Amino acid sequence: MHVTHLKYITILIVMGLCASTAQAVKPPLNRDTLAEGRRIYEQACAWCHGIGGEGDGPAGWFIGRYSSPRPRNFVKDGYKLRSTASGELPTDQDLFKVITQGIPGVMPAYRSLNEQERWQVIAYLKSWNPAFEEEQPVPLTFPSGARGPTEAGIQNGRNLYVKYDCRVCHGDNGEGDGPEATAGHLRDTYELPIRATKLTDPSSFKNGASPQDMFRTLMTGMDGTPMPAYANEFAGQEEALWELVWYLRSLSGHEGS
Amino acid sequence: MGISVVPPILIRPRGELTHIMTSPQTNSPQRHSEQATTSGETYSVKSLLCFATLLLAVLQTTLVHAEPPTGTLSGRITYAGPAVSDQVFEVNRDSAFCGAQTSIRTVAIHPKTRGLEGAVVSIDGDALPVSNAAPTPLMLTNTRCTFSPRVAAGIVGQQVEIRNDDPVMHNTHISLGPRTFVNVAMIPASRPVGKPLKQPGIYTVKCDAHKFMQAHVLAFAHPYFSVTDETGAFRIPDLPAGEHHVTIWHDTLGTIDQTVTISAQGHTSMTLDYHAAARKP
Repeated sequence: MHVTHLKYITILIVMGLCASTAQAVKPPLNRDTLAEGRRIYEQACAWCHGIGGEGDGPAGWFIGRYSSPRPRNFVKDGYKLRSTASGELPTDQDLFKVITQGIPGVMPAYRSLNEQERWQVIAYLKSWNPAFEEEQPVPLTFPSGARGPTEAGIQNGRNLYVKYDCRVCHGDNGEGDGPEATAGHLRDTYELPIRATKLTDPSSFKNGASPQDMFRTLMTGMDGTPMPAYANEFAGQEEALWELVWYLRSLSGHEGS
Repeated sequence: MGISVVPPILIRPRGELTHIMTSPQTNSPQRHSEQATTSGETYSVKSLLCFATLLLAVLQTTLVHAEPPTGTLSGRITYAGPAVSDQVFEVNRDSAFCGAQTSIRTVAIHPKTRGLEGAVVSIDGDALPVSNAAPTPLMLTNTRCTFSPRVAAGIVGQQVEIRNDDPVMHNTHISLGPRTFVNVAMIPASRPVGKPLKQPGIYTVKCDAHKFMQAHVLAFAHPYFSVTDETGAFRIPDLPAGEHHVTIWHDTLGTIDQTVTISAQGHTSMTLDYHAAARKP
């Protein structure tokens, strides 16, 4: 009996330590954090994003010179990859996720940095944009109560794909070859040509390819690109949005989550 | 351009008022009291002093707390330059509804007044009192494959309400510089989308689905601005009296700066021709 109790207590202590460790690695915002963030940034990020964070690093001269995406300008750009509403800044967790996972085809994952170092970099890059001091980014609510894919649901998702004109950019079958894309009409915020995502290739999804990632991307849109947010259209009809997600996943052969 | 200033300043500046109010209290009544010898004279001088003090207190309260002097700036922005052709675009999407071609009148001139529609007249407002947001939303409607209005102006905090009256899908993509303000899908019969203006500036509005659709929203920290109507007329009421720097903005004709002196409790008129003003060195 005592042994069982001890086991539970040990498990609770370990869980508590894990939780407190996860919190503890995010350092306080102070001069030391910024100095360390700067040191890491200049080693790991400045090559593309520039020493002053304006997206104009030596490699940035090549990246995005003729087509989107350019390296992010941390001083004045908005952010594509967020859990917040269109036009809002990302949360710290959003930034942490991007640094940790990278952006397929664009930016490497920085798991080589420990968590504290990633938080230090985040503190430093945020210091360039005063909007981070003025605004409080709030993530949207993403319901997790999806029923899972069904044949009827996927069919309804297809209907929504047509209704919402997704095919105009992404193509009838999600190959990224819709008429707007093939005509070269798609432009980013800097008027650089931008390709429509090939929905049949989840490994190329910049904002993640899990069902939750896709749901989030549809809700938030991709700021700075023609991809709009659909949060307003699906407010109160989240189940329909899940059906659209199941359809999109079916384009790459996924049957479910 | 003609600027006519109508009435003179009716209320003196606060500093002068203070001086006028304090001088009788410190000088002449004191001299009177020194000269008074009998108790009756002293009594009447004291009464006079009390009355004067009371009167001054009332006057001070009234005048010090009075609203600062204001006036109205109104007039007309015209364009007497060479005709500017409409911009014509081929429509490659939803042409059954939007038409095979569409033309955008970027310089809309009233045939009688030569007034220029859609210019934004504003006061440079660093020193102006910041205003609370207007209670009514600023409407921006997708209608017949155009944005209506094509130029709108509002106060920071004021809600921009986006609507779609068309039977085709639009996306309303508003940016301030390189940062997206909002980019929302608007299918037919969408519910309106609202978002308050965050900061002053010139917001560009476009529809990625229909490239020819463009509009602008100008946001100010104060209420001293006006968008010219179809006759080119504008009106900015309740403007603090004094000299102001005025900016006139048009999305294709550019920006013109002027200085104007606003008279208190009166009306100042300003008529400006874009073409003539732009030709000045």
